[in-house]
Amino acid sequence: MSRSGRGLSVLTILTALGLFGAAYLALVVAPAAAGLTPDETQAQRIIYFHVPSAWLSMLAFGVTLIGSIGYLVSSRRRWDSLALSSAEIGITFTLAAMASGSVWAKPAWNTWWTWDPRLTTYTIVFLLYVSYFMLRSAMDDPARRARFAGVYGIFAFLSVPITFFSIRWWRTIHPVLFDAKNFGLSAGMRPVFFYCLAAFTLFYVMLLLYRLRLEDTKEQVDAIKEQLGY
Amino acid sequence: MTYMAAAYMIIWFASFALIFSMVRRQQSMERDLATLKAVVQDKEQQR
Repeated sequence: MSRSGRGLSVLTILTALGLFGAAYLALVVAPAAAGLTPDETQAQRIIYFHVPSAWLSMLAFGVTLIGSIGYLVSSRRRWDSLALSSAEIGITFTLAAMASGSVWAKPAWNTWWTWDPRLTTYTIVFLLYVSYFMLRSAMDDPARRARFAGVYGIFAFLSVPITFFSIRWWRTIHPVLFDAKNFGLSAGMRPVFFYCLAAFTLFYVMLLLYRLRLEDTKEQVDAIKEQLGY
Repeated sequence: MTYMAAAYMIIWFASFALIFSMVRRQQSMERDLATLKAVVQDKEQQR
C-alpha cells in the first residue's frame, strides 16, 4: 500500500472512531435539556448531529468556492475537481441537515416544515447546488464546463452566508445557537457539541480525500481514452 | 425517542449512501482503467 493509501486508511479509522464517539456522547453522555416535554427533550439531542451536518455542508460549499476561484485563476483541472468533489459532499449533507431538521421541527414546532427564513434560504442553497450539477452535466467540453461551473460556484456561494445570518437578520422561529453575546447551550452540552463539530469536520476531510481520489482515477481514464482516440 | 432515532438514521443513511456511491464509482473507474491499460499494452505489443 502506498504512503497516501496508508494515511487515508488511518484517517478512515480515526473518523469512524470519532463519529461513533460523537454518537455515544450525543445520545448517552450529553445532559438532557431542561424545561421541555419528553418528546422535545429527546428530539433536542438531534442538534448534536443536525448542526454539524449543516456546518459540514457550508464548509463544503466554502471549499467549492475556493476550488472555483482556483480554477478560474489557474485553469488547472485539479481545482475544478476539488470544487466538484466538495459540492457533492455539501449537497448530501444539506439534504441530511434539512431532513433531520424537519424531524426535529415536528415535536418542537408541531410541524414538519414552515417557510421560516432559515429553512427557506437553506432550500435555496440546496436548489442552487442542484443547479450546479445540472449545469455541469449540460456541457461536454471539460474546459468549458469547468469555467462555467467556476463562475457559477462563486455566485452560488453567496447564498451560504445569507443562510447563516438569516436567523440573525430576520424574525424567525429557528433557534439561534450562538450570537455575539450568548451561547444557547448549557455548559454540560458545549463539550459534546464541539466534539461533534470536530468529528464531522474530520469526516468531511476524509470524504473529500476519497472523492478526490475518484477524480484522479477518472482523470487517468480520460487521459488514456484520449490517447486511444475514444 | 422516535424523532431522535429517525433524525440520526437519516444522517447515518445519507453518509453511508454517499460512501457507498463513491466506493461503487471508484471500483467501476478502476475496472475501466485496468481495461484501458490492457488495450494500450496490446497496441504497443502489436507495433
